[in-house]
Amino acid sequence: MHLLKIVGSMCIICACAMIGIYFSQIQQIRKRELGSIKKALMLLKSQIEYSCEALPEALHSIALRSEEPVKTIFTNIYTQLMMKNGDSISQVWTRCLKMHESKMKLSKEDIENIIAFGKTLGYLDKSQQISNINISVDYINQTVECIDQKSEKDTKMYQSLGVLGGILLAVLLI
Amino acid sequence: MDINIVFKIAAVGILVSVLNQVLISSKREELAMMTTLAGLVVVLFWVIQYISELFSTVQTLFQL
Repeated sequence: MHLLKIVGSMCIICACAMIGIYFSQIQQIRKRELGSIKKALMLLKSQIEYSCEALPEALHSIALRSEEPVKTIFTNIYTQLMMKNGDSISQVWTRCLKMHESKMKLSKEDIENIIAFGKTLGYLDKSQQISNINISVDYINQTVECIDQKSEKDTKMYQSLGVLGGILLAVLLI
Repeated sequence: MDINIVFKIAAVGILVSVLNQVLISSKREELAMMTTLAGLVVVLFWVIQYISELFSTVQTLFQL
């Protein structure tokens, strides 16, 4: 009976510690995803600036060079644009981002910002597009800086909260 | 009275105070307050039957 209790408590503590570790990693994953989006935006900027490709082709070639989840999103946007069913680029962009929203760890604010960027795609001239990309890249830079400042403290806090919460739960249940 | 409850209360006290310190150091005072309150309520639930026993003993002692 005692052995069972000890094993159960160990399981609870381990599970809670893992939950703590998971929560501490969320911000790091968000930072990585923002980084890959930034990379994709920079590629898009150079595609617009130098090779003057059409948007679907540019998105496709960026998708080939990017990593997940940007790869899937851009490939999705490309295939939907190539279907040519009369949807505008901003509609397709918003739809695809909303579809992949649950698979990413980005905050609501991040998603809104990227959707807002999509609404300005294909609008006015080349320099306007580039300045819009710069605005989005600035936002990403600021957010990443913010995450860096917060992450060290938060990581420690979530990990210790996980372990301590697990021990507390085990004590309460014994 | 089961002696185990004393050790359990001590363990909860230690853990809640450590959690409190961790939360305060990461500038989440309101969460720290809630944790302390939750610990207090849990411990109160455990000891409430002993308190009521004590009151009834006092009542019978003085034949109130």
